[in-house]
Amino acid sequence: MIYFDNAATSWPKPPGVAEAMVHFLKEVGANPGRAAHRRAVDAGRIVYEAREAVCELFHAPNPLRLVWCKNVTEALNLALRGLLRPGDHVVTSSMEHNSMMRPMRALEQDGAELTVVGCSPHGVLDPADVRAAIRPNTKLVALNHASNVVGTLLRWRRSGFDWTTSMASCAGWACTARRPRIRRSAPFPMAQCVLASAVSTPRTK
Amino acid sequence: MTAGGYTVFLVYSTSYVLRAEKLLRKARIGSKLIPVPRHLSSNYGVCIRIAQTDRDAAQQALQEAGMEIEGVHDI
Repeated sequence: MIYFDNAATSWPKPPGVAEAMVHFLKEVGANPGRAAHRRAVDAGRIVYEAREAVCELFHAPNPLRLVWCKNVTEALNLALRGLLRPGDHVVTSSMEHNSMMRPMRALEQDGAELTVVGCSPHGVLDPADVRAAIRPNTKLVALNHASNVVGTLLRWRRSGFDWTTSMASCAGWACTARRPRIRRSAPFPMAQCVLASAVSTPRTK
Repeated sequence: MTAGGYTVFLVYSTSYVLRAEKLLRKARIGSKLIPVPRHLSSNYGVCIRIAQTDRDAAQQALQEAGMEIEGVHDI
């Protein structure tokens, strides 16, 4: 069989994934943060080391300001519903995944203002179009960094303003392709980023 | 660790404790993770214990790194 469903989830997983799970089940097995015995602390160390690794990838200064979520959809809902209030304006693109678009449409019904910037027929978003959509009450620009449908990447480094982005695809790619780190020029406001979502699915897409 | 007594730093979660441990190691301050003393907090989990003589240096190292500290107690 040739596996073609990497847009949904990658396969095969890197060997380290299974190794880490086996190690935890056989050697650790305790509940991190709920006891003071050695195995519980060891479990806590695994979680903390993961925090540091993720922050290194995204150039986040503080590993304690990272929220783990069960999946990207939950993380995006957390970020969007946490940031946007009635009267706030949010800019997004016509290429968004439902995990981004549906909570924003729901927020629109609750009084947020939404601008959907169109992409080219090739699935490319022009940053100038995004910039032109900015209003005085724009609270957020919310975009998927990489399309899991057509594979196009946003040129967000050239934007010059803050984004909330889902990096479910590109962060996994950055990890598994052994890219050193996402470039430092990325204007990533940690308080506004859906970092947890990016990390919850470290896949090869 | 020392004949001069200990100081305990209480923080808000296990991740905080582990970060504090790393920061103190980097500052060359000896520390040990211990269960939170019951007379200090009803929270179960771990806290970080240092020599009282390192108290000020440790507090400075943690604060410089932006660590939030729940409490500092000499025991």
